Amino acid sequence: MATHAFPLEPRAEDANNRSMDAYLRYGPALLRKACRMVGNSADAEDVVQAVFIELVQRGRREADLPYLFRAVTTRCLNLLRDAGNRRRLLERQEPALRGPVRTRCDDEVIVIDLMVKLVDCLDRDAAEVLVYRYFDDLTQDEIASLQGVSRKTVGARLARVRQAVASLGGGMSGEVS
Amino acid sequence: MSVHLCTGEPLSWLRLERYRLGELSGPERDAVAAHLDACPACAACLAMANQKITLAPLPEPPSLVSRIRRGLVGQSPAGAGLRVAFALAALALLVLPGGKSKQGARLASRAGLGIKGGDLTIALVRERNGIVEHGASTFAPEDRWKVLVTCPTEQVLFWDLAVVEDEHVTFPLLPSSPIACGNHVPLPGAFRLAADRLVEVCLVGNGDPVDRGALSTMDAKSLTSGATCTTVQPAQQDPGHLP
Repeated sequence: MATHAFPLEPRAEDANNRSMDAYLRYGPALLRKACRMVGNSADAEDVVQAVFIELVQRGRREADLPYLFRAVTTRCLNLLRDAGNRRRLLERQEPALRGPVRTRCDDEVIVIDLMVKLVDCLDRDAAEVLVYRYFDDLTQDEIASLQGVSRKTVGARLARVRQAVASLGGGMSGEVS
Repeated sequence: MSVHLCTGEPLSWLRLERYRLGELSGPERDAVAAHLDACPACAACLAMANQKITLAPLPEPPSLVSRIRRGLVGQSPAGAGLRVAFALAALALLVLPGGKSKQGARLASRAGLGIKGGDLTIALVRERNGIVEHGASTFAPEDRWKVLVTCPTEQVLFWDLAVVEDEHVTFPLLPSSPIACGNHVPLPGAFRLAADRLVEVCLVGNGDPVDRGALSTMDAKSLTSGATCTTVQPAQQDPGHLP
């Protein structure tokens, strides 16, 4: 009898190298992004690494920053939706990691505590819009491009977000400088 | 938390990050630069983005193993994320159909590492002509096989895979890292079977590294008695094919 071993993913090593390159190039940006969302560096690091591990395991060879940005958003939202994680995340918040918060004249500032409540009453797409708009400061055009939908759809989702914010008592004004 | 008023439409963090990475086109880059010159709020964000961050090394399976051993998995979202990654890996590798899982493994004996007898099982996955079947029991030379292991979560399994035909033992998979236990965790690699009689596919699992050299010196009976095995037979011996 003869048995043979062979690699199932012949190009896995290549994919691995490319993912490592992407990690080195985009990792810091994604880490900052995850920090803004989950509020502490340990959880943010876990999220980013999990995204890249998945990338390697899937053998995906190309991933640009917008794609990874969205992947990190999804993972962070999943984390925030999990009731088991919430208390820990809220306890471990490091406010400085949010970075300078900029506002448009008509925008609220959404803090993580409020976001945790909002993700409960928003559907997945609207929750993404919430993050892109209030944590990542994306324009509606940028959000439309990232989500692959029209600007009008983004506007409708944003309206749902604002309605949810209003129903929960609004955001936080913070210290304006 | 300090709040800054932007002079216009704030530059998104995505755009700022792409700007500092040099990924924006000429006109877009110029527009960002002009905004930054005029807007202290966005300039402060760019300054933050320019702060050096030292990335932790991207963990590989052995790192995962050490995390599990330290009891970290299950307490942090990383554990959850990594487990998800492994589950996704299984899906990505196997593209399992929606068919029901078959408990194809015959448990020959218990493995080490405190895993109780019935807690360690294996199941074979066969790919034949692009069709993946879970729990298949017959093989043809062109089939590709993978092994799924189920063992208690938060355990680490050092392993080797042996194929036994009568007294002949071979090891079809390359030596690899230990795996983090779970349900239907795929062993790295795949193999073919070519034989004219029934063979046993046996997982030798342990809490400590498995020494293939030592296994090679064991007779087949001893090896199978300390392993978790399942049997498969050549397609021509499939009862459905017998005259």
